[in-house]
Amino acid sequence: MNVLTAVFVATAAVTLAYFVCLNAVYGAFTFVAARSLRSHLRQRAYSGLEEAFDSPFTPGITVILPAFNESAGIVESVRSLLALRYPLFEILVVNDGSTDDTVERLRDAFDLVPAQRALRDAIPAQRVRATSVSRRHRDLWLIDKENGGKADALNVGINAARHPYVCAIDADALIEPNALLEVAAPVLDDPERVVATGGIVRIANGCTIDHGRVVDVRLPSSRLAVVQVIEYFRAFLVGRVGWTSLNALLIISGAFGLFRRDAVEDVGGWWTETVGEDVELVVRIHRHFRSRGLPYRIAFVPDPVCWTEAPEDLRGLSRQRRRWHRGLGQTLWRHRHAIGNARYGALGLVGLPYFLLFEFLGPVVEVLGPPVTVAAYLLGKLSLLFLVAFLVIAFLLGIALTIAALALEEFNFRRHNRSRDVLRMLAYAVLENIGYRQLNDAWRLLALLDLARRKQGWGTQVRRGIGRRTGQEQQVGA
Amino acid sequence: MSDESQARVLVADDEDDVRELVVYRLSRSGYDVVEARDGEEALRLAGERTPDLLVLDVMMPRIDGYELTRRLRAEPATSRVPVILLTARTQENDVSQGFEAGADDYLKKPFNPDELLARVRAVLGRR
Amino acid sequence: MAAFALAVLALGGLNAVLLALLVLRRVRLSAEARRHVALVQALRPAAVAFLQGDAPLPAGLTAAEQEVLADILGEYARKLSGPARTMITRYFEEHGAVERELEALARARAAWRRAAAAHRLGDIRSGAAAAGLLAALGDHAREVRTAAARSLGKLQEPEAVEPLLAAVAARSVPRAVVGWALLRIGPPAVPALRRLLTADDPARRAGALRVLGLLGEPADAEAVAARLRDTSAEVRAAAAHALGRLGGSQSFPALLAALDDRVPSVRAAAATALGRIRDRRALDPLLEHARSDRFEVAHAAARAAAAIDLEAARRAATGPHLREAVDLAALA
Repeated sequence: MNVLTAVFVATAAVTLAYFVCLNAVYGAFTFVAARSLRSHLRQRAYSGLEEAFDSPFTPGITVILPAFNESAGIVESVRSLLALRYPLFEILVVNDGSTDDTVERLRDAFDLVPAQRALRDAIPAQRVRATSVSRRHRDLWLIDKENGGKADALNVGINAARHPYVCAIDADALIEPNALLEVAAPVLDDPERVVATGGIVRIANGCTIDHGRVVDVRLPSSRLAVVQVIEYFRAFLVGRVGWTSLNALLIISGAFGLFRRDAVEDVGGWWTETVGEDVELVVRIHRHFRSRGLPYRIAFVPDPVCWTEAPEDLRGLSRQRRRWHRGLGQTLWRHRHAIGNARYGALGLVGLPYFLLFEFLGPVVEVLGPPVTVAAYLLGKLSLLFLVAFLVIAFLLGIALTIAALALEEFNFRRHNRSRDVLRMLAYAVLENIGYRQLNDAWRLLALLDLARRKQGWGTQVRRGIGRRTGQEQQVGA
Repeated sequence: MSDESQARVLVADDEDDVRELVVYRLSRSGYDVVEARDGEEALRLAGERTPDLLVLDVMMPRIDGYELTRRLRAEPATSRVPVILLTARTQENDVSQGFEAGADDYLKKPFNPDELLARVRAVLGRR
Repeated sequence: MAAFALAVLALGGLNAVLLALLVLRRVRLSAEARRHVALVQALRPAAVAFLQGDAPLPAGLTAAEQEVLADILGEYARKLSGPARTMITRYFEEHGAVERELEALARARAAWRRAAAAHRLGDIRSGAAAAGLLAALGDHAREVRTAAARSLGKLQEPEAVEPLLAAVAARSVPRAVVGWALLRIGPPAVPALRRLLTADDPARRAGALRVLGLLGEPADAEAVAARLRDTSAEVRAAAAHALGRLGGSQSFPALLAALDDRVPSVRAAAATALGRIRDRRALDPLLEHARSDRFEVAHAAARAAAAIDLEAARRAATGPHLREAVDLAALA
């Protein structure tokens, strides 16, 4: 009985420590973010982006768009890419062995004709079947290859890329016209050191979209989507800004990331055996430079660069979250030697341990912790007061951090014009802690089981399509 | 064609200040000016009553200047209406893209309002 | 017990404060935005009439109205050229705006305020600001330096050429902005660029070459070609690129020699340049490099060969680079 009690109490103590540390980290990040965002926004107007747009000395970017069965939206995606404001770039659509009419649609829409394209053999990848170029837009190419997954398609893109920088994007993401300029800003400032940058990803559900651009930002009607909007604010405005300040940013969103091509080649390209290829590449790049003592920086640009569609059904969301968690786990396992390793500086000592303990194993604590703490109380080891106070404080802290994230958005970006939307988000900030968070934890626990059972693959997300089909104004999820 | 003092000019630009200035200048010079905020509105207005000249910005939401010019050229009613493109896009292939779309003239921003007026007069005088 | 109650109260209070901040800010911003829009709508017609020389600006404006008017005119300064723009410059000069901004540039404590001043001085485009902006190229804050560089470009100030290239070499201002500014300064920059070809610092020599390639005259080709024997690879590559734009056939021997340079980026630049000057004698060497050299060099050589003689390139088309170059050239 004594041992069991000890276990319960220990677990309760760990749970308490976990919550305290987690909130402390996020609290610290919130402060960092508040200052950083404010100064960034002030600087932004004078950072010379318009001049860079007009300058022959701005480095070229190869945009890589891996596509698998994207028939519904591929033409609109490419159209919005053609409208990007950047002086020198090319678009490589990599068809990853689609079984639908993705290729035909592209060929018809852009007048593609066969043309040879020289490829490096820098990174091993599945066979390329054919290449074609658009007669109308000489910088738009289609590379048709055998199926090999997103990472493999990106690697082919690297092998084909003409410019010193590559931008990896998701086929269904809507890219802001200034996105390349914004994400290239750290590179323009510091080309020797900056090897990768990412920006803010927003949720498009509910927004009014016209000709591939978000013209009106509105909250989706789906409750699940609204909660995700809030989550994204916290993750991007607080989380990523915070990690960048330590040069330990682990995540550059797969939906939109800029990389220096030679850095990606040096580390061997994206890893094809994981579902978290975006995180894994970034960690590998960090390790590569830190272990060699080479100066480098991975930057996060707190500007909105692209919009994605969030799953609105529980099934789709759970598949997505399980996949993300599996990817994180695969990455942490592959780089386990770096965890806690002082050789990797802030990455090894702070970033990776944090992600292991709080992100990866966090769900274990969050799911088991509270019931065990209650059990400890029932066993008479904890006072009721302590239990209640603990729960209330945890709840209030969680809300405070979320409201702070919303405040950061409001003060710095103010994209949501309707006050009603802001009020709704505040309400959901509260509700998020009752139900959504627990669901998320449950899914991520399941992901741990998936990993134990070695599950592979991506699963599917039901895509409603964010207003691309006709290019006319369309509201999603209204 | 109507004589110059009654010529109808359609000005389309999403930048309010530029549009206001151009409209003012052309009206003061005796033209009948209609304004549009974007490509779609311009198309609609041109459909309602064919203008004698269009001054179009290129970077507009919904339908940009190039696309608008192409569409106007595709319609018999508007296929011969002269188009002057006014835009900040100054790279070489932007200019050639403009002419390929069917524009008659191309004026770069920052622009001189006097020069715009001169070009308007020249183009309308030619027809 | 008391500690917990305190903690709960504190957190509850924190939440309430944050909420209040959010709500208040939104309310204040909406009101401000509406006021601003109203002012702009009211004042812009007056500005337009003024710019067309039809009426003077209204007198007796409040400070807020002055500020909005200044913004409106500043926007127009960016979009207009010619007499209208000169009127705006004169307006700002007469109203002491130039002095005010120069003062802020020199003395304001907040970096963003100095950057804003530097930026506005470029929009106003008064020559009187040149000295202050040149000094600002040495400011601590990067955005101030960047804004100063941009504004010196807008002022088209030839004295800025050497300091700007020094800034690029020191990496204190983004290269893209300096490049833009130097191009804006245009032909008056050329004498300074020529002098910099023999600067001590290779980064400055390379920078000068890049811009000279775009602004220089054919007569500069000889001086540029001399840089093909520079000790720094970066300079040699920049010289090759510049020759492609400036040079005629007399550059051929120097570029041909550069095609066999040790460093691949120099070879690639030489190949591109040879393709631009279209000297037939380059054809065979280019075809050779297109077949056997490293990726980037072979690529440039193939494109150049196809540009010189598409048929010959097609006949010789072995290897992916030549085939690609031929396919693309055939589309044109």
